[in-house]
Order: sequence, then C-alpha cells, then structure tokens
Amino acid sequence: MSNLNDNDSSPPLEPALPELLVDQHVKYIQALDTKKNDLEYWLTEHLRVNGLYWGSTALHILGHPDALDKEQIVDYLVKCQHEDGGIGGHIDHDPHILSTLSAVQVLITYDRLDAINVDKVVDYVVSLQNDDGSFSGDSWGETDTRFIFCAVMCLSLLKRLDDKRVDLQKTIDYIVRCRNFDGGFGNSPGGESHAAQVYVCVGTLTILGALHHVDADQLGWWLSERQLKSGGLNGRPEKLEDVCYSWWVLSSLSMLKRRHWIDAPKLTRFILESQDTETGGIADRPGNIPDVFHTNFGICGLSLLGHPGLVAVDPVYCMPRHVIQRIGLHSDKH
Amino acid sequence: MDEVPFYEKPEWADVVPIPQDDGPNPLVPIAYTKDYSTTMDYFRAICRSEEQSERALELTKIVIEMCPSHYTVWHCRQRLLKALNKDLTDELEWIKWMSSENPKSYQIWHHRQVLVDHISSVLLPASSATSETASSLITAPTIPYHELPESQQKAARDMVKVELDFIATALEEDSKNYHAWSYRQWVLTHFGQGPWWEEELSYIDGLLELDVRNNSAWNQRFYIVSTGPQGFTEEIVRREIEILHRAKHPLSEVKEFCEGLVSRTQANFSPFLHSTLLDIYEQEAKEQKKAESLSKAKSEAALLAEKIDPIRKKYWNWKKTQLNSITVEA
Repeated sequence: MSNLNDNDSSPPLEPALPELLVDQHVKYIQALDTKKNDLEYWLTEHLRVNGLYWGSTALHILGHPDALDKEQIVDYLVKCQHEDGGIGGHIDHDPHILSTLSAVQVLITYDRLDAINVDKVVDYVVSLQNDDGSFSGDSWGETDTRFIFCAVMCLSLLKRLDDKRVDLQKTIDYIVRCRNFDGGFGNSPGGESHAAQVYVCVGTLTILGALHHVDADQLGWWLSERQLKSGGLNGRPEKLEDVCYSWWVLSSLSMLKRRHWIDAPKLTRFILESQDTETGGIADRPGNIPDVFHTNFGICGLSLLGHPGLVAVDPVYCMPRHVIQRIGLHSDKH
Repeated sequence: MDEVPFYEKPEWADVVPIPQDDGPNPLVPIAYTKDYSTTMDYFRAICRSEEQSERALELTKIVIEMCPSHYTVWHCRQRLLKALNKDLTDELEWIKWMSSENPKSYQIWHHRQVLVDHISSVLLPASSATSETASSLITAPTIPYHELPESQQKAARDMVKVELDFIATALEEDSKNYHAWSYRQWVLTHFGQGPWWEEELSYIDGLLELDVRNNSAWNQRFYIVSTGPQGFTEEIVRREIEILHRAKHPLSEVKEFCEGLVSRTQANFSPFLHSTLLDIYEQEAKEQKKAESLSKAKSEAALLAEKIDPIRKKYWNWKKTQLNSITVEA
C-alpha cells in the first residue's frame, strides 16, 4: 500500500479481513475423533454419523478430500445400517432419517454408495411417509419439515424419486400448508417462520420442481432482513446472529436467485471473525468455542459467497458441486 | 446422586455389560466419563436382551439424565412404560423437571407429546374425520370436543389446562422457545374446538403487552385467528387491525414513570433507566424542538458517561456530540 491520503473526509479504515485458516481447520476436524477423553465426545455419541457428514463435507470444500481415512469411514457407516434399511446415529443406535441422509451424503461424496444396501435405504425412507404427505423422523412418529427434506433429498440422491410407493404431490401440498403470512415456512402448518425451516422447505420444493409455490420477492425480503449490523445472519426476528444461519439463509437466497440481496463482504467478515485462531474450527459467533457443525456451515457459507480457494458447494444438497455433477443431478437453476 | 453407582449394586450383578464396539482405544479414566461409558455398556446389554423390568426403566432414566438428546433411550423408555403399564402422570411430572433443565431438547418435548397423546386416547374418543369448522391447516385427527358428554369435556379441559400451564412456564423462561410453541399448537388442535381457543387470545395479549416485538406470540395470534373455531371473518379482521393500532406505544408514555423512578435511590443508578430517559428527551427535542428537552438529554448523556455507566464512556460522549445536531427553538 502506498500513500494514504491524510484526508479528514475519508471513512475510517476497517481492520484487515482475517485470513481463512485452511490448515488449522483441517487439523481441527482430523483431531475430532481422537478426543475420547472429553465428556463432549460421549455426549454427542448420537450425532456421530452427522458429525462425519459435517467434518468430511467441510474438508472437501476446503480442498482436502483425503484428510480422513475413507475406508475406515465406509466400514463404520456400513455397521450403522439396520435390518430395516435405516441408518442410526452411531453403532447400536436406532435408525433415523437425519443420520440416514448424512450417511448417504458421505458415501456419495466418497463415491462408495456400493458399500450399503441402497434398496433397503429406499424401503426405509418410503416407510416414513405419513398420510398427509409429510415424513416422520423415525418409526416413532415425530414429524417436522426437516424430515421431509431429508427424505426427499435422500430419494433424489439415490435417484428414486419415482418410487411408486411415495406420493410426492401430497408432500408438496403439505409444504405449502407450512407457508406463513410473511412468506416464510415453519416446522409444521402454523409453525412460526424460521430460517432453517425455510431452507428445508425451499430445498424440498426445489428438488421437486415446485418452487413456483414460493413468493420469491416476499421470502427473499424476509431472508435478507435476517442480516444484522455485525454482518451475521439470525434465524428469526429479534434473535442473535449465528454462523450456521450463513448456510440456512444464504442457500435459500441462492435457490431463490436473490443472494445479492444481502451484504456479502460483511457476512464474509463475520464468518472469518468467528474462526478460532488457536484451535482451528469455527464457532457460532466471534469469541465462542468452535464445533464441527458451525465449522462446516461457516465454510459452506464462504463457498457460496465465492470466497477464493474453496471448492464450490451445491446450495440444495450442501455437498461439493462437482459431486452433484458427477451423479448427474446438478442443474444451473441456482 | 447415589454414592454407589447402580452397576455396583447386587441387583445388577447378573447383567453382563456390552462395551462399545468402536476400536481398541482404551478410555482415559476420568471419573465422569467412565461412569457414563459404563452406564452405556449396561444400557446396551438391556437393549439387546429386551428386558422389561423396573430396573430397565430406571436405567433409561439414568441415561436420559446424563444425555437427554440420546433418542434411542427415549424410545426404549416409551416401550417400557407401556409394557409395565406405568402411571403416566408421574412421568409427566418428571418431564416437567427435565424440560426445565433442557428447554431445547427435541426429544423431551416429543416424549411429552407421545404421553399426552396416549393418555388422551385412553380417556377420550378420537375422531378420524377432519373437523368441519377448522381451516385447511388442520388435517390430523382431532378430538370431537363438542360431541363429547360433559364428563369427558371436563377431562379434556383439565388436560389442556395442565399442558398449557406447563408450556407457559417454559415460555416464561424463553418467550420464543420454538419447541414450546410447536407443542402448544399441537395441544390446542389435538383436543378439538374447546373453549381454550378463545382463552388463548388473552394469553397472547399478555405476552404482547410485555414485549410487543415477540414474533412468536404474533405468529401464535395469527394461528389462533386463522384456524380457530370462528374462522377468518370480516369482523375478526377488523378487531385484529384495531389491536395493531393499539400495539404502538409512544415512548413518551413512560416519561412520568421513569422520572418518578429517578427519585428512588434504589433505581437512580440504573443505566437502563437513564438511557431510556435520554431517548425520551432526545425524541422530545426532535419533535417539539424544545431547548429544555435537549439540555436534559445532554445532561443524561453526561451523567451516564461520568457516573452511571462509565465503562461505555466513549459511547455516551459520542451520543452527546450526536445530540448537537438537533436544532431547537431558542
């Protein structure tokens, strides 16, 4: 930098943009599975398969696809599949749609779908559809628009949306019933609009080619209102900003082709400032303790923002775009 | 907590714990971690043998209290409660305590819903038909409240009251708890078109009185108005618009109250009180162009900077310089 003008009217200089700490994040994720002496490791046992998805996706987007032992991951996921086809959150845990989708995503990313019984996974997903078109999370019945998206994404990734046993028109109708007066979506009909529920509903409609049910201008405005002065995004009005909403909000805006409605440089800065410069990893907001969930959604958010040096992420499937292209699902719609 | 862990008691001696099968790494023997993993070893053993007993039920409680989001344990517990024909009222009491400790656990709220669904299905007949008067938002089977005999209507009202009071307690802690609101909508709808729909409006009024920006309460208001027994009539729309006008309180409304508080020594040092007064005087100066209001605003800023909130001295001094841009009549 040369000659800075000593001009009183120039705006105050912002502090330099922090760097993306690629190597530290890679080491942070690699070390996660070795922390068996931490209480946290045991308390998150039921999220182990989800954790693998968050960690391996972040590593792929960071451009380090080989940082984890692929064969070990595949062996582990195979052990999590049950007789009914569903996949549990860990060995000996009951199957659930959340962990089933995570496992399918990881196996496709590593191109090892052949390791599990795909027909049975489809049987399991199909068995979770309810009469009203929604899907339950497991055989015990909790219903939420999150589970609909997981089921539809799973069938889409496995190229089984044409399975005659599911009625996807009913699913679309159900999602439309979850739409609110502000243009957003909730977890069930009448549930308050919430950015993460918006992502799953808009994602479902995108995959099912039914995005015309969304008023993109109205919802785009609601989503862009989620940006706060810090640059970070929140999930509902009057709530705090959080790095994971970088994904839920930004991916939804991408699907609605309105990503430019928010201030990208400010969001980039917010995510980068939430990095832990000592341990690696990204926290929910600057100064907090990092975790693998926020690390993944922070990095995927940066990828959607076009941050240099990152592999492109697909805004619908939250997987590397080249993987989605490889299996022939990518379209230029978003 | 017991001094002796359950697995060292004689009644557990016959169970062979099943250790976790994920690699040869031995645990670092931190007391709590070891306790947790041993507990899980016993839980795995009970699951595999599908044991239906009091001790199995008790074990699920121990595991849940250690890790309430472990969903497999909850399912196991539901199976056991049913198999052992347990009194679910006791279970509801325990859930009340658990949810106050873990207000954001999906599993706890879902468990409560499963229990209440079960209790109500025993006490009351379910209707598989969708209620005629309900809007298209409701499609799940609900209880035909108005077709029930009075004794059953009373049972329904009592159950709804217990549930709504329980949820209200959670909302006192966090008025935007998404789980609590979702469950509240389920309760209102599940028991049919009873008097609680009308009462819900005054409950929401109270919340909006406390915080007019409570978006969850506004959402609930929309839900009640649009799906309630009366439907979305023109009269109701007019009433709602009237309420929106009333919801806008001018800041000046609290001026007298705040000025009164300053005279009380217990409140006089509060930064919130003085920053509210600053806002009130600033607004007055802008709207009425009174020199007196502006000078009061400046002295509040000075007071905050020097005495009441010096940690944010720079902010309050900046605020004071901002006040200089307000033009008032001499």
